[in-house]
Amino acid sequence: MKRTHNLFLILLLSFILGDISLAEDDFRKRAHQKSHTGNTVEDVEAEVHFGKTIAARILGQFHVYDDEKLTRYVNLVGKSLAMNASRNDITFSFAVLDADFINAYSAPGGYVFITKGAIQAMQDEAELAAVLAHEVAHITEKHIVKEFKIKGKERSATAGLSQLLSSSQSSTTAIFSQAVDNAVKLLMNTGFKEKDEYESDEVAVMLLAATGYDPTALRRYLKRTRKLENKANKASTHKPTHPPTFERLSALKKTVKKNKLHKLKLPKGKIRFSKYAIK
Amino acid sequence: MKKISLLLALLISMPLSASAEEFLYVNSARAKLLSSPFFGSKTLEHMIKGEKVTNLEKKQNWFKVRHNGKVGWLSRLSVAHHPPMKRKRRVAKNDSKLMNDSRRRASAVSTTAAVRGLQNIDRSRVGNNNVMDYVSLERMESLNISDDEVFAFMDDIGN
Repeated sequence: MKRTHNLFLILLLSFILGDISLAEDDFRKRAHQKSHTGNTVEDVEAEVHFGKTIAARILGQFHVYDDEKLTRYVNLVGKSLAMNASRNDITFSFAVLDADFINAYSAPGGYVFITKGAIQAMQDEAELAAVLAHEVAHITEKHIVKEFKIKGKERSATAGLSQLLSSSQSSTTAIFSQAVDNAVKLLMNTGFKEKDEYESDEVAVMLLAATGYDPTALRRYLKRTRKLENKANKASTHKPTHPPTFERLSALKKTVKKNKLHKLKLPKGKIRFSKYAIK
Repeated sequence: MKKISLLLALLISMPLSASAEEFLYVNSARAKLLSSPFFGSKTLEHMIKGEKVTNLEKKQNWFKVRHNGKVGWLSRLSVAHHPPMKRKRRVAKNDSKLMNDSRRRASAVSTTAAVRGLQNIDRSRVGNNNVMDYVSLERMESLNISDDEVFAFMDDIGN
């Protein structure tokens, strides 16, 4: 009787331990295949390919502002923010567009653009970080990727982007081009969904605080540029692509209070910004 | 007999409690384990990318976690449910043709039009708004800044 019990015990033990090790192996496999968002390596590759083409299209519409020092500075600010975000699977790159109106854009895969006009309207580094953080947030939260269902494998209606990219068939190329067209239209004309914009604002203030910048900078900047933006954008053929500023300001006030960020006394980086400011 | 039954009950409950434990991984380059869900609270530990923590609770933008016996809070921006992936290289092998084509077709103002995938079917779509500038894009991507330089820059914000 005792022997039977012991045998049963050994069998049970080996079953449990075997099950645990199997589960662990399985998890390791899955962990290697998936990114932090639950996407595969192919999904990230598809996102970068898609974003690259959109970025090339944005750069086809605007000249890059030719100032090496400023470009390096903007990249250092932007990359500092990106270091504190959870998208370490992509490389972030930042460029200043030679345009006088106030705006900023981002494409999936880590491409961020800010106009010269937007930088001219800033007073300190925290404000520059705030605008870049909003754009970085569109990428980390994958707003365009979700909107256009960008996937590496055939798992959705517009999926199979990797296949589209490698395909030489004109029909698949046309589908890809059309998706890029629509994404560029969203960025340049229609803008993101309001909920995506507000989410980006919230992530932006959190990113500012995590990086060590004054988290009220986005609110300060929007408040001051409200009138300036209207004037500059009226003179431009490029449409404003963000929700009305007064609504964003109101939402930002709530976000800052909810996260107790108004209690933080973090630097604005005024001195360093003044060395690079565009006159 | 009683002892064996107790042991059995213990062993059966073991996998259940083990599978209920959920892990999170630091995905940002660095993160602070804080004493409360607020950026101004006390730093309990400085953490780096890849570190694994036990998820205890989620509260809005924060996760309550356990790490090295310490219980604290991590911002949702810095963690994920999977270990960090290797950073994706921008210029993949299949993009080299694209870059070469781009350079060949670059005009005097370094603007390249219609370098990728615009076959007969969609050449008609190429207008001013459909111009692609892969030369500027390559320049944008090639700016080399090391992680150490970014860390040093971040630690020197000043007032």
